[in-house]
Amino acid sequence: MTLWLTPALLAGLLTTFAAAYTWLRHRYPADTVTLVDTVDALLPQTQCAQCQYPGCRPYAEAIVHDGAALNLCPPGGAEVHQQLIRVMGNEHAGHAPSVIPNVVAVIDENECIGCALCLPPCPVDAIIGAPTKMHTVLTNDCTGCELCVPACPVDCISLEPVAAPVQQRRRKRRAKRNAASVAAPVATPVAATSTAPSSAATARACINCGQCNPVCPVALPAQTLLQQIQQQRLSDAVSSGLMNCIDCGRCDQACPSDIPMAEIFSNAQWQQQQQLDDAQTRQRFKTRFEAHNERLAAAELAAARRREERLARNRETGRWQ
Amino acid sequence: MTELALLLIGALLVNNFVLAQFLGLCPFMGITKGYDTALATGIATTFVLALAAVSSYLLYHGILVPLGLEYLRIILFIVVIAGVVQLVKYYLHATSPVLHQLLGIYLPLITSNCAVLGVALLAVNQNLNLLQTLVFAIGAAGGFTGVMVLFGAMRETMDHDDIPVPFRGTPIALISAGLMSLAFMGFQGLAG
Repeated sequence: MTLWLTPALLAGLLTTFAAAYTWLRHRYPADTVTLVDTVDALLPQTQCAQCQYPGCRPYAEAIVHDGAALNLCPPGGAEVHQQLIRVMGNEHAGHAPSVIPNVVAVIDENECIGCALCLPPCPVDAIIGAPTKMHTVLTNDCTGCELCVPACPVDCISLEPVAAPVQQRRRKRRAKRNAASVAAPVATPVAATSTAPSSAATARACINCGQCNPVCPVALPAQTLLQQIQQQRLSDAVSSGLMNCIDCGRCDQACPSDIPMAEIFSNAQWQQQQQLDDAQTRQRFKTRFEAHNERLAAAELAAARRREERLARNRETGRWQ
Repeated sequence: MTELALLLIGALLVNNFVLAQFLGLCPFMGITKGYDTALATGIATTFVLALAAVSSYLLYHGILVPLGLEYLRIILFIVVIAGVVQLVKYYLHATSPVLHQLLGIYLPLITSNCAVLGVALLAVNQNLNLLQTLVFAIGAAGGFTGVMVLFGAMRETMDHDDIPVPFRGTPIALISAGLMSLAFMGFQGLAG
């Protein structure tokens, strides 16, 4: 009897759990999509940072938590603005009806040198062209995110209103060139990668997608931490909770750029620990030195006092007179 | 009532799961780098232990004893504990984000912990009833949490101490764990 009872029992138990799990999934439908996730899903994920936030996820968080305006996303355009209003309601809609410029990038074919440097920054692959050949922009795909502008070494890319008259191009481009030459050095993302550890051979630059934030089991702002560490702002990183990192490595898995975040974090933790240790050692030596000096001074003072007393006693008894 | 109190203190201090019975040593050495994580693990363990003890009690006395299949208890306890914890984890994930963030990653880690199975088996072996099992599990979990938190706090302090280089890190942690275990020996005979 027990021969069939055992497998039956196991199968029964497992089936029960499977059924319970299925029912639970049905009753409480799939993974709890938070409001941030919903808003993030509406954003175009170009990570162009034109909204003044570091990326799409940070902007979504700002919309949900800090009530940021909804009309800050140029690549999304009016369409995304409308969708965001539908999700968040009108009270968040932003100050102006719409500050979103309806522009596309335009390459001045006469000045393009065919360097192909503008191809990698484009998040939507709207620029076509090969090295030493002239490039052009697919107007329908371009979101006007401006990411290609600082990449161009000869400033031949300009942003134009959709279907602008050709005559206006040259004048606008010149104005844009002046602005871009001021802004260009800030926008180069080279500094971010240079401080990464040497083992990170496959790592690319942080694209500010914020995918490392929601996976952190101890709720650390992983992306902010990474930036603070890469900018050598260790004390800021510590106040953002660096020392709470448990090195679980879930941010590594989430990172689409293969940045070894856990390794960077633990190195920074070690560095911080080292600084703390040094400071403590210095403090200990200082305390000991000061205590030593105080003891010497006290001993000297006591000796002087004893001598005074002895002299006074002797004067009273008239021993030295 | 006295019996329950004795059971609680026995599980909490005298037969402390970590320091006297040497169960659940992996989280004890692994997740006690800091006070916060130790506390979170402790809370999650309390939760899982109570759940595991009750569900395995129900399984044992409701199904295994009537069918005469007591020898299957280890395998089935593992199945039930893993299954129940997964269900609860999903339920928490779907309904209470705060609690899920607090216990989150620790729940599945603890599921495969020997202390959890240990409590279920010991409770069954001692023929405890349902209330006693619950008290026993909570006592064991309380002892575990207490030791985790103490040890976590101790390691945090030790990080700043001037320890000879060869002893830094795991060696000094093992030594202090041994000393703590010796200290807990002092509770022997406290509650029978």
